[in-house]
Amino acid sequence: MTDLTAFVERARQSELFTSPGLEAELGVFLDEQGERIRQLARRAASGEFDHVYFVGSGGSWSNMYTGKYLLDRQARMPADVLTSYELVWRDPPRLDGRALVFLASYSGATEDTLAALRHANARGAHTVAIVKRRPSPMAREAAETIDYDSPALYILPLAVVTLFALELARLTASPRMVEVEAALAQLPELPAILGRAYRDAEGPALEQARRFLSADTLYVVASGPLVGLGYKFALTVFMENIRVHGSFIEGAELRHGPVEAFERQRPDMVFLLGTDGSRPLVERSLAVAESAGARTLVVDAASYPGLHPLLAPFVLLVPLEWFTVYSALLRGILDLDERVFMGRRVLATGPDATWP
Amino acid sequence: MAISTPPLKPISEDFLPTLERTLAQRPAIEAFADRVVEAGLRNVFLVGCGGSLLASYPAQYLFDRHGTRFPVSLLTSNEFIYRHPAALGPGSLVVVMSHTGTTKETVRAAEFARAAGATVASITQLPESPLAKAGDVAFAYESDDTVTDAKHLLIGQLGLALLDRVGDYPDYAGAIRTLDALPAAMLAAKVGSEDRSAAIAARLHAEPITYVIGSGPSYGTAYGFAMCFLQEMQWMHAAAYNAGEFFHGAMEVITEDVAAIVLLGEDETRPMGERARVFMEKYSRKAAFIDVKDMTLPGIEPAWRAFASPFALGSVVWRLAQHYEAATGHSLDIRRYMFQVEY
Repeated sequence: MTDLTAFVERARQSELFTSPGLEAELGVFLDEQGERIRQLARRAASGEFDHVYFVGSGGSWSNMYTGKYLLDRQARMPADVLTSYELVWRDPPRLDGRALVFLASYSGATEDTLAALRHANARGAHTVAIVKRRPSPMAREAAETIDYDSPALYILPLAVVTLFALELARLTASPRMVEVEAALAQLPELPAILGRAYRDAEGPALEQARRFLSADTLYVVASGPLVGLGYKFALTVFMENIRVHGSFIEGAELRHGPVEAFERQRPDMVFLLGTDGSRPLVERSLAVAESAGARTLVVDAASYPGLHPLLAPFVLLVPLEWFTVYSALLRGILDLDERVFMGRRVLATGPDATWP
Repeated sequence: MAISTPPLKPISEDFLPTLERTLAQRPAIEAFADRVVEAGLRNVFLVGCGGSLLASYPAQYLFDRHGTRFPVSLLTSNEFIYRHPAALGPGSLVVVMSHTGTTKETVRAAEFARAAGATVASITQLPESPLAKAGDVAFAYESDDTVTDAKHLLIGQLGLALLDRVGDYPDYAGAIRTLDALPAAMLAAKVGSEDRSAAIAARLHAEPITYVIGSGPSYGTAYGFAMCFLQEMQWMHAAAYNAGEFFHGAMEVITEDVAAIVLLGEDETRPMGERARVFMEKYSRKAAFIDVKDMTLPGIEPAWRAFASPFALGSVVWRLAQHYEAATGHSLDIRRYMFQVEY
């Protein structure tokens, strides 16, 4: 066994690399928690709430983003997605007894999300903590808790907000009922799709990682339903785990400024291509980046025939994680869960809070 | 070949007159707000691209903090069209911004919104631009030099008037007093920051990548400085982060050689900016800070400095770009792609 193979074996056990377990874990989660999530959607559809907030930080903001995207597109329920401290600082007057607030935190003790939960509770909102496990401060203090007892910190909270938003749209006569029902119908098939994606994505990943080995800055470009996933990789994976510079650029924004910077330094860029209506625009951005000499990695939802466009963020996570694993290993970062600053008690403040 | 460095441009003479002109539009803005509210305002969308979207961030913050009667979403023009919000229709107000008034997707977003039955307000340079014509009403600032500051004041006035008309803003008279004092205060902020801005540009103008960190109402200014000024107009790699989010991953790349500019207002989000400052002072030798506390802001009452903060920061940061221009010798007006080629 070569060293690299051994390192990949070890990576499969790391907390960062969630793909190996997704097929089993998403299946169990939907079976166990699906009904509770649908129940929340029924309560929202019955008129109990008139605003939904999706709240989290970093990676746990990125999956909450999808909740806002789906409600905007499919339902008439007003919704906001805010980073945790922004909820506290903005202190929106609409955050009251008629607000439903989802708050995601893997540890259930992330300082800023715990502060946001306490703030929402003080305003009388109905709070739903999405955390890895009880016991945790957030699970103790939220009106209700959805716990998932798995390292799948992106996919499982994503499943919560996706199922919630689609079900609410279905119950409230969405103007896009066909799209909503097709996505809901595919949800139970997702675990198997993720399993296939996991097995298929390893092959190309090593070559892709080699091609980008000299990259010291990775821009990630995505739009529509893939914005949250793109942000997650730019901010919390490439910077945090591969330790290269990174930034997220919304597909539509690339041509409104960032492209000009490519003259001086040819950039390295990861493009997430969806199969939703924003695809042609991202393809145009890809073409202009390549004509400017960018080195590009394209992760394309069209590689998964039949995948519903709204469910693309679930599946594209997998090739991105494989790319990350090999990129980190080839750079000599062998412990994928190691951080320089995070989780070392240098960032959090407060007795029961952690960071992240 | 000898390359001469351009001298620092003077602060534009049309700065004060342009801002005064935008304030003089208040009666028209208030009349428009009356009309929209009387017709039954259900929701608001703030739409634009790049530099013309960033001016909407302080307005979104204002709506979030005070609005109870209508939800507000901020979206890029194409994202708005592709997402096609289910709640868009009669009773929706869509505010579109574009300096040139010709940005294709923003003009399309205006047409798209009107076709859906929404009311469209355009904020743009010229009253006759395609975007102005695509809206139900246009508010123009008529300057080519004073752009983002003018947009800030126009959208700020519109946001305040809407909140006031539905009874959501506690002290409209105080806000108007502050707005009226802002042009002179913003100019004083620019002038008073000249030495600091020159020093930042001298120190950081050759960095391979610069992080710009802001929060709350000033995140848009951080985004604009990274994207429009450093990437677009200086061809330098850059990224903007919300101060709170910076600590959820991005800061792992900080070493003593990584450049960052932290914007600090006096608004409610200051604690996280302070935290970014402490972290950067400890771990980077190349951190710079632009802090409203260092600005005198003449005419702004102490209680209104929080409200004035994003306006003052926006103004100083735009001026900082001109200091970069003088330091790098790279004109802010050169583009390789934008306005040059079809893409």
